[in-house]
Amino acid sequence: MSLRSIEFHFVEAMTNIRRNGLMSISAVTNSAACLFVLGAFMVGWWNLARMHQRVASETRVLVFMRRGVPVEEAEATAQSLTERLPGVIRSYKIVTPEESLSRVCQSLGIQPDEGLRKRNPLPASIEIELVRPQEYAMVVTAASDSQRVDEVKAGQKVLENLMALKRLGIAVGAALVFLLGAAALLTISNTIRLTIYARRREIDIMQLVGATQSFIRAPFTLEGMFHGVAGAAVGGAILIASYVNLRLWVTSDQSLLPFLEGLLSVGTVSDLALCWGVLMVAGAAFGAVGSWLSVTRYLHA
Amino acid sequence: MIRFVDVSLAYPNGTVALRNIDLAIEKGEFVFLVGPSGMGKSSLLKLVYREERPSRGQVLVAGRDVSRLSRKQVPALRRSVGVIFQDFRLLPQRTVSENVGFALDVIGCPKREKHRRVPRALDLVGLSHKADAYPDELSGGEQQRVSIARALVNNPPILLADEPTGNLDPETSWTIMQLLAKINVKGTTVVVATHDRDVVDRMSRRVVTLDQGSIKDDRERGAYDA
Repeated sequence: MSLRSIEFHFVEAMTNIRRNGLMSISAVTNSAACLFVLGAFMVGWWNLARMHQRVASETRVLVFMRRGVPVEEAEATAQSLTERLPGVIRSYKIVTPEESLSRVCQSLGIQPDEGLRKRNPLPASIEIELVRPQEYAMVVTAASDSQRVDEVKAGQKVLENLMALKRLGIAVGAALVFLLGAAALLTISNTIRLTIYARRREIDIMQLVGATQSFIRAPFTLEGMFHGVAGAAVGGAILIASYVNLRLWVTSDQSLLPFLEGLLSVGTVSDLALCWGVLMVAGAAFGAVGSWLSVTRYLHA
Repeated sequence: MIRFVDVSLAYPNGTVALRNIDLAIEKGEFVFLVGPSGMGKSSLLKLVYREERPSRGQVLVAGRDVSRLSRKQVPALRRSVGVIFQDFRLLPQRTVSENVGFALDVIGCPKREKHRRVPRALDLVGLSHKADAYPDELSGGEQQRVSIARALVNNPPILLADEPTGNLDPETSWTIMQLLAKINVKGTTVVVATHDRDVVDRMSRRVVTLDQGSIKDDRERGAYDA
């Protein structure tokens, strides 16, 4: 496409937008509403994914040895697990019975006396950090096989719940992206159809004098992209303003802080800029596809 | 230049517009297609610029069967065929020179070339002095001349005219025909579909008469009722 053609398409698209001002405002407003909801869901899902990542990275498998099993055997068990499950275990740490006792006493705020040290009821244990936390079940099964192991614990309940929530988020998200995307796309598509109707004489002449179909489509596609991007800019701005205010409110209320701050971990300038950028790209794509469909339908009718 | 080989055309609603047409139009010819309304004149022209496809037969333009062109190849054909209509089909919000230049804009013609060609086309149709006027400021005859300038600005070797004088008074119609004859003298093949008896008789050119979608008569230097 030559510079001359690009100039022509751009001028045509801008002239259309100016001529059909009210229709353009309606398309931009509707796209903004759709993209706002889409963006709100995106931020929610992103927060959930971050929380899942954080919880997963903190999830360890704890292997408690039978009482009386010496630390050397705990070390041998850990070595054996690492060899049996290559690429699954990132690292492990042997916790001696003495270390376990001092941790328990510390958490209870007491000092262990000599008697308690001698009659220490706690076994040696292994703390295992995984490469991929979702593979904890393999480690639990493998460790449980050992005669020297008494009990295996993983933070599986929390992790499983979060993973289920994440899966649900993906399913709901896909449905929402589809529905809201279709709504934005159809809104823009309908606006472009009205523009096409208003300009059908011009299009007929273009076809008559030998304009290619891609040439005829170009200004309408640009116009649709403009509607999408403008809608995303407006919807994104409202979303970011609302979200920043929500975070400010949460951080100002000390009683809610520990719980909600973890839920709203997305919040840096780069996070919000990325979110806005994604919405702009989505808006441009919905606008381009919507208008392309309308013009193609007209040209092939 | 243009050949119809055993061409028939039936529309989806079942109306048969053309039946077994065999017709050859040579390069540089001036041909009238005559006959009452609904006899297939416009349909015959539409086949040449591929607005319609024949149900049967071949339509050859410069040796190429246009009925077999893909959708993507149609624009190239249309750049070699200028078309004018009874209702002029001008864009009311553009000036005369913008209307003519529009035909060049949409085929990606460079600006410098456009600034050279548009005044030349307007000069040919005698409207240089109206370049900045809008269509609604012109008479019917002037509007038709703008549409001729637009059809010719790309120098097509073929000019098709579908009832070009249908909306004009007899005197203006004669002026338009004189203009088409002048264009024909410069080498452009001109095909005019009309039921304007006076014009056809006065011009004394080849006349192809259509009746019920078939060629009833084809005469050199004919007349409307020959």
